[in-house]
Amino acid sequence: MPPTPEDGQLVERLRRGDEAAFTQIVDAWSGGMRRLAMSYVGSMASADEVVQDAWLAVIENLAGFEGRSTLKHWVFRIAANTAKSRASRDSRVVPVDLTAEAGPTVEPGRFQRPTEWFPGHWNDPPTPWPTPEEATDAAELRRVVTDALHSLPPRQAAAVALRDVEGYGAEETAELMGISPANQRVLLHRGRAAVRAAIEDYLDAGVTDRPARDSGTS
Amino acid sequence: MTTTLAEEQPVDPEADKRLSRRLLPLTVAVALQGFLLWVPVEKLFMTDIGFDAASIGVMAAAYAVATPIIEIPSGVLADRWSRRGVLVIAAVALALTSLIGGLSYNVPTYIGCALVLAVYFAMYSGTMDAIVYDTVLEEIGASEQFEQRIGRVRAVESASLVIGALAGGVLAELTSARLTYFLTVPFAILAVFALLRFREPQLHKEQEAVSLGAHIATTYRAMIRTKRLVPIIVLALLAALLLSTIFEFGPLWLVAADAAPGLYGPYWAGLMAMLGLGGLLAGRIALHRAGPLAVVIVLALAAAVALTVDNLGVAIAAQIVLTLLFLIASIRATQLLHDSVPSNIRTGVASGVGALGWIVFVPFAFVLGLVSRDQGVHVAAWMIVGVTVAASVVLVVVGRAQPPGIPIAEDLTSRLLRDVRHCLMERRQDIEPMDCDETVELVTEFLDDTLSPHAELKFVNHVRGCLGCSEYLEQVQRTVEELRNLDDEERLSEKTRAELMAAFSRSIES
Repeated sequence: MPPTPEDGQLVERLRRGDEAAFTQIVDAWSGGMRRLAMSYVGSMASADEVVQDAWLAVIENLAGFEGRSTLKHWVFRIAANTAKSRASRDSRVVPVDLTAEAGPTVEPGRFQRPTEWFPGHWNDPPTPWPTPEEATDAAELRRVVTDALHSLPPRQAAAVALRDVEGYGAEETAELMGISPANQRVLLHRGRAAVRAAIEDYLDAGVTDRPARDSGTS
Repeated sequence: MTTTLAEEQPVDPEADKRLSRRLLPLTVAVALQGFLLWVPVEKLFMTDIGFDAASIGVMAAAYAVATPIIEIPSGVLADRWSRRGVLVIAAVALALTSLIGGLSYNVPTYIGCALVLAVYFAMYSGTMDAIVYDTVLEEIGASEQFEQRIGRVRAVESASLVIGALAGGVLAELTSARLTYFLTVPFAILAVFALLRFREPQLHKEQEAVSLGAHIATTYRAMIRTKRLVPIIVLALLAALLLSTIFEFGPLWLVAADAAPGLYGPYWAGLMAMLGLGGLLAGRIALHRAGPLAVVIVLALAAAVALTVDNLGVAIAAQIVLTLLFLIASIRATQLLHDSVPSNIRTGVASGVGALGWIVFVPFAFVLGLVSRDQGVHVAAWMIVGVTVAASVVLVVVGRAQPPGIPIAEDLTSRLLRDVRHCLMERRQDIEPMDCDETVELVTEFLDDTLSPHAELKFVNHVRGCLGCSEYLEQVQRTVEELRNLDDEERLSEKTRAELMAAFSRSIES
């Protein structure tokens, strides 16, 4: 992400000691930083300490920020480095949950069995969702998405938070998480699939006046 | 970075006009070839030169044996040489068969005429569908236009068949049935010239490096190994069987009722009109929904049973209804087939299915001819009822298992074409259908544009034809959107915030 003029103004305000600007970025970025830290240190308490330490490092080094990347990326990189050293200090590596990172991401029962007409094809296909305009309770849906994100395994949550919530690209996310872009994509894929399933569960259970399954888009 | 599938993307009117202009010579050729003056009075003419009900059955069988033999090489020729060329051969065969028919005075020469007619049908069937499909794909890139376009071409064909039938009936009444054969020849020759003005789509041509053996093997693999094609192929076969039966044996109901010769023209025109109407209705009748499907099945069964009743008016109405319904079923099967196989082998597979249709028709025609002669057509009609019941069952199976194709956005099409080219350069032949459970696991790689061209081709090819997977892809994109809108409300604790604010203030002061 290349630095923007707004970014320059933001740095200027921070250097002048604008507390409102500082509060703003602390509130906006700490969530994503915590997700990132969690993927290294594994516990919420440690992650919170990492975020706090990272912000302290940001305050300390703000004068030395050269604007080669965006301020946000610089801050997140500090968070990643803080988390990394914290993890090695604790000799703690987040256990990679292999069962959470293998196997199908869609319930196998939703596809036809090998003995049926179209093996591997939908047996219970996803039904169309109401459009954002039709959705009656946007706040409730946001809560469902937030809950789903928070209940993901730490590494998947970090990948989804960085890629989708924070808007980082694949390369930057992989660099921040200290993994390969391909691995980052595997985590993202599983994370997104789980969030999609959570939205589906919520919409299937809660909304009754939806279009019937066979009156699809055609 | 991400590519979205279009939900209801309006067709670009410029591209639509360009497509119409390009299809014009093809449509003219279809109209000229449909001007078959002798076809409505064929059974009358045959009776005149010495045929009876059973020998009509034998001839239909002979015709049916010849067609599949020519179908396979015709499909391969169309894929490896030129589809336009194959259509030209078809038009020449049509001129020739009309000439031989007109010169026939006995059964053997007329069988010669039927064999050349078989060349015409073998070269024409499948090839026309495939050429329209690839032209539409090349110009607009949306598969849902296919049914509409093929429907329009069929409507023109049908209009010309109707006019030809009526004119043929009148001509036979005023002059002789024989003259209708000779007068058909110039129309077929004009069709050749119209075809030469058509610019052939290049989509399939890029496969030139394939060996003939590999081509046939791929077709065979697609037909035999891909289980989900089986019910679609069975539906296509049964619909073709029923349509052939009506066209070959339908006039025997008029013969049985001693109908006036003048009735053959309007009767045949009615059947031909249904071909056009069926083409127009095919895209509008949602056979994947329970309601329309039930109506179609009930109507078809009622019409089939009505053929067992000894009443000329009822028989003609029943034949007209059956023609309409089974043409609709046949177009649906064709479209599902087109969406399930890649472009390079599409013509081959379509011709292969056509050939199988004739193979099924041979014993059926033979038995139906014998039963018609010995027991009468109203007993033979129970065989048609049987086929209708079987077709209804398959319609239910196919209708519920496979949703209709969905349109794709143009940017996706260009990505797809890029992949096609890449795969051709790499000589990748195995662009086989992908299953839904594989497809859903590739969604993220697809959105990140990191799939290999070969995998992306398979992916898009599948998603384009699968309502479930296109919905899934759309939902994942909606999920990403929802995540983007998330203002992560998970703030730090008040205590931590306060500590950070204090540190910030201190750092500025110092």
